Amino acid sequence: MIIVVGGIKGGTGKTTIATNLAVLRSAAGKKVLLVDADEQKSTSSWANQRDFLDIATGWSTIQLGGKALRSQLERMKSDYDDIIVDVGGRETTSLRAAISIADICLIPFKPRSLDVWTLSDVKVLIAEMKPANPKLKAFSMVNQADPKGSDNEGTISILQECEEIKCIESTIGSRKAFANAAGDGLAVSEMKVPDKKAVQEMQELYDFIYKKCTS
Amino acid sequence: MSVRKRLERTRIEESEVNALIEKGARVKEDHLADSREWMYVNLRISASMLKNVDKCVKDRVGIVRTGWILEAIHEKLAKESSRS
Repeated sequence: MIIVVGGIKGGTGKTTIATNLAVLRSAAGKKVLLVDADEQKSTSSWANQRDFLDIATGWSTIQLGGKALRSQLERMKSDYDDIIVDVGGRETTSLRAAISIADICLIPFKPRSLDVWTLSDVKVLIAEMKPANPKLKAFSMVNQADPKGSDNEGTISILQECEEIKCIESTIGSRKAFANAAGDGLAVSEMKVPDKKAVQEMQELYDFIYKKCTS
Repeated sequence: MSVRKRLERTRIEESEVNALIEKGARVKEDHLADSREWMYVNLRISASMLKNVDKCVKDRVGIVRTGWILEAIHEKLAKESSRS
């Protein structure tokens, strides 16, 4: 299965989600390929950090991008159980190419107006790419959710208005554990003293994608 | 049954998929791919000029006619770009 973690807005936590999902999927015994198609190459930096710190890594990370991403993923998909593509927050050929071949496109949104306002453009993009990939399932979710207040619920209710991109109700909080783990080249589930809430939230997202979506 | 639903096309051609992809902003990899892509042109050149080219090629070690012509194009492009 090919999963794209994308969107047209930067800083929504796509790399955090992609890397954490890769760790969980690999821990489940699957052969995983993590593709860094973001021009900022944060996923690759994270993977390099793991290498420097000699952290056991059961998957491969590669950098790919551009319009050729479609044919490259097509060629590689039979070699892996799962491919996770991290695409930068801009409407590029990389994003479109990844969407054209993915099974699932996951679009995280921060609970902020400027982020939510991009939903209409994302909706147009998904609708435009759908004929190229009729099997595509697109999901939105709230990432970096506030610990309190009503902005999370407000964002979810706006995301739910879009029928073409289904909103996942479980959210991922704005927790320092994600940043701390990334700095150490880890996923939150690999930390020596794990933040239980962060681990649980990521596990819920994982279960939704790899269990509910595929059943 | 005489009345049937019109069959809708569910999948588009690969060329149409590529056109959709190319609507996205180009990234570094696209520019690199373009520079690696080779195009073919038929060059009409007078026999005497070709003879002169081959003479120059013969005087050089490790270069073939295509390489020599490409070198000439590179030199011309460099000259043009320094002018603008």
